[in-house]
Amino acid sequence: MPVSQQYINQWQYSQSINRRVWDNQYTFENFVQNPTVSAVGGGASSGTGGAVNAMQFPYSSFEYSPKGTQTITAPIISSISEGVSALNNEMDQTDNDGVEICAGILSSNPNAYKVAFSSARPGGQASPFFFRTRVTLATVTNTDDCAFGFRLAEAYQANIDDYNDMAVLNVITGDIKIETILNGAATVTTDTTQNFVNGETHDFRVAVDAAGAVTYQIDGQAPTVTAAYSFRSGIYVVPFHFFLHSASAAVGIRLLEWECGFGA
Amino acid sequence: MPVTQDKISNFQYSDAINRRVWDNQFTFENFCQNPTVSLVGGGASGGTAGNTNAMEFTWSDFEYNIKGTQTITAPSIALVSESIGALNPEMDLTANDGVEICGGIISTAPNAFKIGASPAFYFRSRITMSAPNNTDDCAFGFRKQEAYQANIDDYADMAVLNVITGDIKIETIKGGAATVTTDTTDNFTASSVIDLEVQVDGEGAVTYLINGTAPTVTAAYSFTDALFVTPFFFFLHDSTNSDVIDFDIDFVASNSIVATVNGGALTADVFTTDQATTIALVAAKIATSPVVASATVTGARQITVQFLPGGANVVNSVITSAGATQPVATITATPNATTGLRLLEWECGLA
Repeated sequence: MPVSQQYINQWQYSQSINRRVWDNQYTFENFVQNPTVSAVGGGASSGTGGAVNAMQFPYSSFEYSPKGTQTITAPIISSISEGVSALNNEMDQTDNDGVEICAGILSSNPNAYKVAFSSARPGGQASPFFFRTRVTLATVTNTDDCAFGFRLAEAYQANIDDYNDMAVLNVITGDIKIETILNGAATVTTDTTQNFVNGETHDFRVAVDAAGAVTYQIDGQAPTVTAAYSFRSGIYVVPFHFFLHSASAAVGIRLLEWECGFGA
Repeated sequence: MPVTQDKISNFQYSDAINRRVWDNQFTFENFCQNPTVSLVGGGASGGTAGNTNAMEFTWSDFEYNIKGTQTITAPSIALVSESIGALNPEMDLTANDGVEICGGIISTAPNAFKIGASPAFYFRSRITMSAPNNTDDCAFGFRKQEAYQANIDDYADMAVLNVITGDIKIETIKGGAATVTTDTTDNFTASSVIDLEVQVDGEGAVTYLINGTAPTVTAAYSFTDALFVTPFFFFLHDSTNSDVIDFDIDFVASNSIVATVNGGALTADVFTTDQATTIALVAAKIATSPVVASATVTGARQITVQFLPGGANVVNSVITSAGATQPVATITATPNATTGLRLLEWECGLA
């Protein structure tokens, strides 16, 4: 039966979601169903510090690596409001423990981008790329790290400051900070002077242009105070979220959306 | 925002890959992210012989069945080269153990095709192996939809390209008869990347392609009418092993070196010119043993010996006599060697 345009329009996703079907290097996840999880290499999902687990949603795949020791060994979906759900990635509510979520740490993964080289079009010029998340926090003071951004495609580290290259927006006990690392140097922290208020929902966006220069957006606007940073040309970077509790108490962190792909 | 054709063209898959979105009977997987795995029926993935596990990628699902006992209970993704990932299905490096991967063994699986009823269909896989001589079986093709078997020869019906210790062979089984093996005379060179493809036409007749070309020697075969067949990959390690010989000091003038392999002493080599020349002579002598595939100088004072498949072979000793000083050899056995097998692509559908 010929499929008419009218029939397609009746059932199709919105264009923003649809892109994940036709763009191999694009991820959009809004966490509406519980994922399947398992340890990479086999076995049940592990809560051991440094273990790497795979997490599969219908349209997207992630890895997550526990920080500290977790008895809750996987994030789960929880309801935020009518018709809206999110990923609860608190794991155990233990001081200095948490989890890192990432699309994968090899250059083969769809959201691994080679700075100043990766192109949206095969054989084309280098293209900009971005990572956007929508997150809500009930108790912002309980985060040591709640970072979203890009880092070098390298092995998982227990401490965010140990990554070799990184550019993130990081909610640290309620302050929204920019943190960067360039080629193994010390972390450079810049306070945007903006704060995350308990119970709010914010969009964090980190964009990398075709030359590797990084810009940030909080709810679609540049931060009040920003910081210049460029990734080194030729390195592969991956989007990631790094979360640590600052107290043995709930943060109420919920990831509502995770979007990554080519685009300015 | 309206999405223009230009914008779609900027980001879309190639048409070949895109087919997995709109064709329910088409699978294309290029193994770029780690899968989730679990035991079929529930629980953590199992490594017990005969266990069947489910393996889920973003765009494709597989089952894998354990051959032998595995402590590594799932394949995982490994980088083959910059931005190119692949599935590492080696599991434990244990002789005669391995894994079978398939799209599912019941006729509801998207890649289950009914002979004589389905139009022509095919299965193509792109693989690489660093040591293809270490495979008992590394087979890609179609088999009857039936329960998993521990031995590939126990399937009732099958047509595969099978890399057996580096030789690419066609193996077929019909109606439970004995396996018919045909050597294509094509070989799998270490570390090469090869496409293996098995095609079945609308009548059930099977043809084969190696890198898109018919094998040098082929074999006629047709599946029995009305059978359901499924694409599968069947892998077993061979029983090859290797020894690494490390000497503690350099050879010196007048040293006489005797290696013993499987209890038999080889003729002596005498120090010649310098350390590099002498250790090369010793390696060459070990390589003359009929159970040795290769003996290679892998360090200034190291020789790696790779044995031929099929036995518990060993370098018993390398004894040096005469000369001012005599190096002592430490021999480290590696009971089972890696094949370095990596699956880069898995593609199956109607032709």
